[in-house]
Amino acid sequence: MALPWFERDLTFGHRPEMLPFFLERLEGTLIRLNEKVKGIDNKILSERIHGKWSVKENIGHLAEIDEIADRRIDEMMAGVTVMSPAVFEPRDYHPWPIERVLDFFKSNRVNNLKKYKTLSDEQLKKSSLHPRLNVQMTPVDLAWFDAEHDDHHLVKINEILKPTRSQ
Amino acid sequence: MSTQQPKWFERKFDFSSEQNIFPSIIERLRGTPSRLEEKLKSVSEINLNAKINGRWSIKENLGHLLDLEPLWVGRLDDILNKEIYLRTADLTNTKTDQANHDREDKDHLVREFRMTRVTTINRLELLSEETIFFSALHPRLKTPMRIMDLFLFVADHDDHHLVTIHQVMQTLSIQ
Repeated sequence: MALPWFERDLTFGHRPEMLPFFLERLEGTLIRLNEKVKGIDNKILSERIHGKWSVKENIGHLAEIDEIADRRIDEMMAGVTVMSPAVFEPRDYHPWPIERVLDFFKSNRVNNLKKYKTLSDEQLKKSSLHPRLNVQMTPVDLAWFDAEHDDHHLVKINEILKPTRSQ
Repeated sequence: MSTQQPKWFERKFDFSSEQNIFPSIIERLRGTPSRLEEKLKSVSEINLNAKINGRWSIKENLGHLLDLEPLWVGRLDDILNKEIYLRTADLTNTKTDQANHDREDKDHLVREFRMTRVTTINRLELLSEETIFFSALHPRLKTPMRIMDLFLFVADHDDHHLVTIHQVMQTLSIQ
């Protein structure tokens, strides 16, 4: 069972040279998501079990978080003091085929990866305050934070799909 | 982004977390075979075997992950068997240097790695929450390494070689 995300103790201050590792993780998420949902019935992917987010909602949420990450990188570069807040309740992805949800995620993720790769070493040291955690965060910290957040939701998706796979 | 990738043996690790993040670590470990497959699916045989400045080829990096899996599982056994020290690693990577992975088929290497990793994960998924905090001393660092730390180390090691493969591909202009 995954530890609730808001209870995670997270330590920041990652060095700029760690960014390639975090980007590699962020890039790998789409492949991992594709593998998870391959061959799974649309009904199962849209199902809310015990009122919790469905697989589609978990993936849509990651795409929405990437929209926030995109904005937060811009805010750090602009020297904004406090970054934009996160999003919580996902939009309704259930009418969408899973391919569209994955495409939405892919589009946002590819955009962010490109943005990270344009940042200079100096820009990677810029920081702004995370509004919930109340800590200074650089783009390198944000990349790690989002990679950890991806893993959290991959665990959630695995928990939903595991009974299906073992049948 | 011009930052230089740190060498594996120069990496610093923070194993101070008291929280159970093992499910996320298992999920990372599970993702590596698919990430490797995707990365390598269109790479030509010549490029898979290319050695840049005498460094390991893409296939050797891949084979190295396969070579090290018995060490990780062996260290898991060391902790479960309540050994004082974890078994030592061959820091010179002789196994990979001598394995001649370049002669092997890439798809075979990926398939072998996937099978080996699935076996590892099947074992990890059976461990209780109490067990993942069991530890033994790291032979070089002489500090305790818990099962959770050990496999976070493995997940980071996977990423290290995925990044190395990515850089080889970039150098060969196939990215």
